[in-house]
Amino acid sequence: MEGTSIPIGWLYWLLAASPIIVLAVLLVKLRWTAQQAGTMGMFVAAAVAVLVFQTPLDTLSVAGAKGVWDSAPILFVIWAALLLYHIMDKSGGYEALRQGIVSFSPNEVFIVVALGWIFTSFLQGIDGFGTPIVVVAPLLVAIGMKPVYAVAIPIIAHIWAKFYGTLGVGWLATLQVVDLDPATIVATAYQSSLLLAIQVFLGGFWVVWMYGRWAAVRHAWPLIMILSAIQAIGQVIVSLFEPVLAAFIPAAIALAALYPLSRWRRYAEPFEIELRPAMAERRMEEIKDRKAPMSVTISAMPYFMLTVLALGTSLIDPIANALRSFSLGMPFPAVSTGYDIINEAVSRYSPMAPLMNPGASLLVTAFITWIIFRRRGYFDAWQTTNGQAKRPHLVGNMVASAVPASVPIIAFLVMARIMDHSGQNEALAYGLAAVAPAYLFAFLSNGIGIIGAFTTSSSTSSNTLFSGLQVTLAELKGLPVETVLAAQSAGGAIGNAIGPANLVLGASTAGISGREGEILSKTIPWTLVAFVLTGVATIIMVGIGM
Amino acid sequence: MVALFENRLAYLSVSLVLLVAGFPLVSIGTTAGSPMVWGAGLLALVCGGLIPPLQRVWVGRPLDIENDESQSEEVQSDIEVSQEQKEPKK
Repeated sequence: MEGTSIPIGWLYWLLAASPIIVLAVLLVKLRWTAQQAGTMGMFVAAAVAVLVFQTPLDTLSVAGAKGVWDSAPILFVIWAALLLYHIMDKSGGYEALRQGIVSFSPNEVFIVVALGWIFTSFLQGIDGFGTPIVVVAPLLVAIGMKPVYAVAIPIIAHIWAKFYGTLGVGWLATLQVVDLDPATIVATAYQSSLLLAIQVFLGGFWVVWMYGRWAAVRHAWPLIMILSAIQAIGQVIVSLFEPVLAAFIPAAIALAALYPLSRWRRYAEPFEIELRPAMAERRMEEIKDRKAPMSVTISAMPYFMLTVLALGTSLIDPIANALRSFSLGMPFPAVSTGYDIINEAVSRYSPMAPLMNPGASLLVTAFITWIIFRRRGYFDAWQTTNGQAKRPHLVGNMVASAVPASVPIIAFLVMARIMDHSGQNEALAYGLAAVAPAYLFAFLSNGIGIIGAFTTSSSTSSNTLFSGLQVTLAELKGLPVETVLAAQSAGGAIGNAIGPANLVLGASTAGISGREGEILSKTIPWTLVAFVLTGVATIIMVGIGM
Repeated sequence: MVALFENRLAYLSVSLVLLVAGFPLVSIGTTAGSPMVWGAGLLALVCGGLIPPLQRVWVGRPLDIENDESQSEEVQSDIEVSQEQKEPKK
């Protein structure tokens, strides 16, 4: 096929897809742990790379090492987030926070929407690398949600904010890898936000449906519509002026809107339904209060501090520039494959600025929280409440939960980088383009973004990997570049719902490490529906010539 | 070896250390043109990656996960009980 020297056919396509298929089957069907399934996926990708895609061992080594480094920003977040989690858990912070949340509104569905959807989206607006998942999952467990749902809900809920979230990192990455004229840039931003609106509405309704099926949806639909409108329309409007803030501003407005909405009688009173599959049997307000050693304000302090730190380090230029000036990275030589997939030499591969990473904000927050909580005796008081004699070992607990989370994240990203360096990703994308006529390709184009995000667990990485390729394919098919790029952006976000690293992140802070397959089985249906709706919307946009 | 595979934190820690060690070895080795060094890095990646699936084959699904799952079916309805299981009373 034009544009690549890799033979494009069913066999190559299937072989290129085999690491993803093996990973999904092992996780969901055979219920292997993420560590086992991830490393197996890594070896399948390596075997296909060497035996089929003519990848020499030095190229394979470089790809593997780059994959390890790709995981560094995520691992920094998870280790720091887990430290904060254990500090909160062992000091009674979550119990105090739970009691505060329950007193905010006695309406359980309102709390699930506020915490699981709106607060998660707000965090995604400023932070990334899975921070919203690791922060919100334990909070949902604290209010009585089953751990598998407590991870699946924030994962689905924050998807709409992936592309413009983390202060527009996905958008900026896309602009770096494609060369667009100013009019196409504006059109891409606009059309991307239109497609992302599907994820806003679908996310809101899905979260509530997961919580309490149709009875909950019937009760919460006005709330979902209002909040979806704020987020979706807000994102469309802001993306036209300042794409970097297109997720943060509407997410912040939606967060502020929660207070007046909580005073609405419909949501200010308890809502009784029988079927609540996401929740433990007891109702939120029925969980017996234990004497929390701190006030609600103090227990919420780490999250205020985290927000302030994240905003300050991102939005105040002198601070951001100073923090960005320190970065780490190692060199790699140029490597290639027998099919002329060339990766140029780099003096520092993907430099990481650790002080700008959300992990730094989490670490500072955790440290200050630990000092305050320790000086005020919260750890001792909570031990007494629970009748424990031994002091909790915070660092030991963090290591015990962070190590099982770190191995699969590295494995997934090594697999992704091997697929990239060997040309397997290219074969997947060209394979889809080769068999699909223009309109079918328009439908499938967000699927390429989903594949990218599934393998890398990152919207930004998906856009970096595939945006250039999507532009080439759009031109080959005679489709509008801006619409296909918008579909790529939407797909890159959707794929995060099944990104294995996201599942591992959430599972580790919800205390269900090893049960990632169960979470995946909850997020796959949403992903499929979002894929189909985005595909249909893409065809309509192409059809009406937007 | 079997003893190592029965301690989930121990074998995953070894796996993590090996995977992380592969990164600088490959970077230094490939940049300096030293096949010995990048070969050692590749070997570290392979060994680190082999540990979790080998554990599956030799020992089976980690015991603590099996326990977590069976417990969760019984206790998820009661947050208090769940908390006490995480932090057993002395």
